[in-house]
Amino acid sequence: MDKLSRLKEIFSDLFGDENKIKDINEQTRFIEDLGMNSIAMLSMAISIEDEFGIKFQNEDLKNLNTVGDVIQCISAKQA
Amino acid sequence: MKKIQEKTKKKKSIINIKYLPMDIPRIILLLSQPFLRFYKTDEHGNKYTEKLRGGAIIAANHIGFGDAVAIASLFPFRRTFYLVAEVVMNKPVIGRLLKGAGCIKIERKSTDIEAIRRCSEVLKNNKLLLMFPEGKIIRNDSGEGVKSGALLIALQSGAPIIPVYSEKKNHWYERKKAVIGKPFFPKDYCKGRMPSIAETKELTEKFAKSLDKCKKAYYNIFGR
Repeated sequence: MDKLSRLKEIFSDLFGDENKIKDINEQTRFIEDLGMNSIAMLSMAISIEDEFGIKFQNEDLKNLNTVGDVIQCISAKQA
Repeated sequence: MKKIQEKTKKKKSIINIKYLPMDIPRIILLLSQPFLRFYKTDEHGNKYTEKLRGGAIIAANHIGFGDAVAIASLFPFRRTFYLVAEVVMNKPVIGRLLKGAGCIKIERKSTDIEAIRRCSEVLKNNKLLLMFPEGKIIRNDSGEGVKSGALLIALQSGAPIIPVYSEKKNHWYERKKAVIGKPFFPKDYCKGRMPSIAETKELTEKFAKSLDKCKKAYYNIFGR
């Protein structure tokens, strides 16, 4: 399964709403498009850490504005 | 086989060099118990005699700068870590001293995942973590809500949240009083390991209710 599909599963658990996640792509912005607050971002980050076996630093989270940013960050950490 | 097992069994030591900067103030606090004269009860007004075992989050109301020391003295035989705001921890000398005494810095205005991780490790090592869920000193009953950070830490580590309510003494000679509420287990209300946005909102409300229950019990038992 590719990274975007695995992330969509995480978003499905986070939002509990299939309609909200079906249009998610790499350009989707967390705050403007998905309306996420800091707690939702933290929940998402912790779930991503568990799913992909990586560890985020605070600096990483400051630069995560879109789904594409997350995918790039995961790839960089797994490399 | 028994001899090998006995050799590999590590003896627990009361004195641990790693925790010495934390243990020295604890010893002072322990010796000052007769002077602090803390009167602690459960929500029904019965004297609190439960032995708190394992990791737990102590969630208390924050009314003054001395709260951390006062609440820590409720559990004098347990090593307690404290979640402290960046404005205090960033001060050069005080920050270093507090870090040695077991304080963990948290950046309140950003997503501080490193602090969450450090707190979870503390709880998984069966230590207590003291935090103030409102995030700042609240002197008047302004009705400002609790933050959800404690919930995330509790869910990450599986630890319970123990609500505590205490107020300032009216007179210096009075005993300081506190109500220690029933443990609240966020993982019992969460389907997955991390909550959905709707579950977080529900859990925050439940958590706020458990703190409020503690506050009402305090007023019922001790009056305003």
